[in-house]
Amino acid sequence: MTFESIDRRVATLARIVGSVLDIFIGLLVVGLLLLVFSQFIDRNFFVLWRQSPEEYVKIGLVWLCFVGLARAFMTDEIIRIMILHEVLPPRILTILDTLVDLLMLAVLVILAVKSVTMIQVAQYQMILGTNLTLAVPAYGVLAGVLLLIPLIAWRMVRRIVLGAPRP
Amino acid sequence: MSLLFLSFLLLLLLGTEVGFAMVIAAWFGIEFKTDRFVDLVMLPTSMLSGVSFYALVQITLFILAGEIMNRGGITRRLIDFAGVWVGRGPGSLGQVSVGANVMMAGISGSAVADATAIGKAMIPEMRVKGYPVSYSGAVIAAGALIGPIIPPSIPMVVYAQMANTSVAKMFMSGLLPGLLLAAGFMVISALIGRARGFPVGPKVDWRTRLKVSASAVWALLLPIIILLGIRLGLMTDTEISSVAVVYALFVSMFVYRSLKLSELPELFASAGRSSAVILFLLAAAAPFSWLVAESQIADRVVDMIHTISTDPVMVLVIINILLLLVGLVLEPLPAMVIFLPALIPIGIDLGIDPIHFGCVVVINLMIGLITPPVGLLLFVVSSIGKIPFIAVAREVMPFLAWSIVVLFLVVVFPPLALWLTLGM
Repeated sequence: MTFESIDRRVATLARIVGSVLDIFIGLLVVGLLLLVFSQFIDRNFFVLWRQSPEEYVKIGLVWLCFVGLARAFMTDEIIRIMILHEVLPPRILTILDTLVDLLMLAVLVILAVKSVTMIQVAQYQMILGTNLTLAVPAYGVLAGVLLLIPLIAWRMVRRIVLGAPRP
Repeated sequence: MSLLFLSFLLLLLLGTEVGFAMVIAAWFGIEFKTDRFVDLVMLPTSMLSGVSFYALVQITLFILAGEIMNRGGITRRLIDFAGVWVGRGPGSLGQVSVGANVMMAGISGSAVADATAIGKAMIPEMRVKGYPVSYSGAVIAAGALIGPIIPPSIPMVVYAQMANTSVAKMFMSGLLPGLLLAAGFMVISALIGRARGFPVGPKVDWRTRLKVSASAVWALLLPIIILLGIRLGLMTDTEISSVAVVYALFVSMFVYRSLKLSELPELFASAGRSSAVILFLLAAAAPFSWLVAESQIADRVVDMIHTISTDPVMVLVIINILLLLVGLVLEPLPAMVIFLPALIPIGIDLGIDPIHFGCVVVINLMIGLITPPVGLLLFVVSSIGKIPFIAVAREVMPFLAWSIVVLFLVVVFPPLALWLTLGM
């Protein structure tokens, strides 16, 4: 099996994961819209909420932030400053990009390990106005980080093997 | 402290995603913190806290409202409306672009969304009618600058969250400066059109005007609902964002019938991705800001500025020069999350109204969107119109000059920002 064929299979898998993530992100946005709009109805017309919708919105935002970021990385919708990329030769850029990816991987691994610690503590802390614990939003951080690790790692491997530009 | 900023700047230069540059710099900052031990669990914990703010849902919802408008035909109707009501003098299409941008600004809150929507419609039209394409790009980029200044505004939500101030007041503070910018841009367009002999527009009869206006009524109601909702306190600022989305969906799907149900999943996902990138900036800024606060850099900067002047206006001028320089190389949102933790305490210390301060900061950093070398709006219109970047950058100069004049006026006359917030 050649690297190209593995790359093709990874690309297919990435497309499937991407589609699933888009559905998840879309549903999260719909959920946020419904929560906020229902609060408007609740405040002005008739009672819809006994619990605190604000807290559910906050949880949704955390999940949207981290899972959405992973998807934005896949579609290259992220914010970067590309000053050096205009002037440096491709070979040096490959080395620098690999260095950056290594640093990102290192910090992502730290975030993953420390998110587990955070979840262990958070599962004993209730979110006031809900029946949920703080572990629910904390899982959102972990989910986003765990999606980003293989993405960055594969990007780095591809660059080293194929010399392909980032991402 | 210097390690924190040096590593951050280096990572930015290397092309690291801005949020990750902050997280990695914060990791270094924690590792090399010498005065006391800080566990790295602080990183995910503070990132989670940084994004757990109810008001931030407005970012997602206003982006979504903007996307619905663009795909649902609301934008096209606003352009047509501006087209029939703006005069037909030389260069009137420049004024139409500015007018359409003002109306878009009252709904979307994102400069890039406005520039993309108006640019896609207007640049080809202006090209066909004989306008220099670089000028078309410049007037659209300048007009889009108004988007995040007139309410609603995503940068103002970010500022309000960081400065712990009222989002509604922040929104209203941008209205007069935004309209002043637009008025100036229209005058500049007219003067340039006359001086360079741009084409005269066609004569529009009253029947066409009324027909186009009737078609645009639903679109025009949206900014009015938003403004009245904010000013009269009928809805909270967060509720307004959801009402804007529901209204835009209703008009696009059932009145104009230009948005299909099958288009909604991609539209919601796209808005979610765009807002996630902004939310992550705020999440990443949390540990970074914590380290900045720990190092008492704001106190040191305050002391340094005090040695130059203690006059609030003078201090605002100094801060503005600094931010204009920052805006040359950084986009507004990253610049806000990096510099505001240090700048907000300075404003408070000198007794500057936080709403006035926020309005000034937002206008200042938005100007960075049309200043080379990293003027995001210049890149957007260059890409849409296939125009050389340098040519657009040259044509945008008169508009840039007026933007700086308006910024100076808002610094010197605080009522420009604060008058509409009185009684709120």
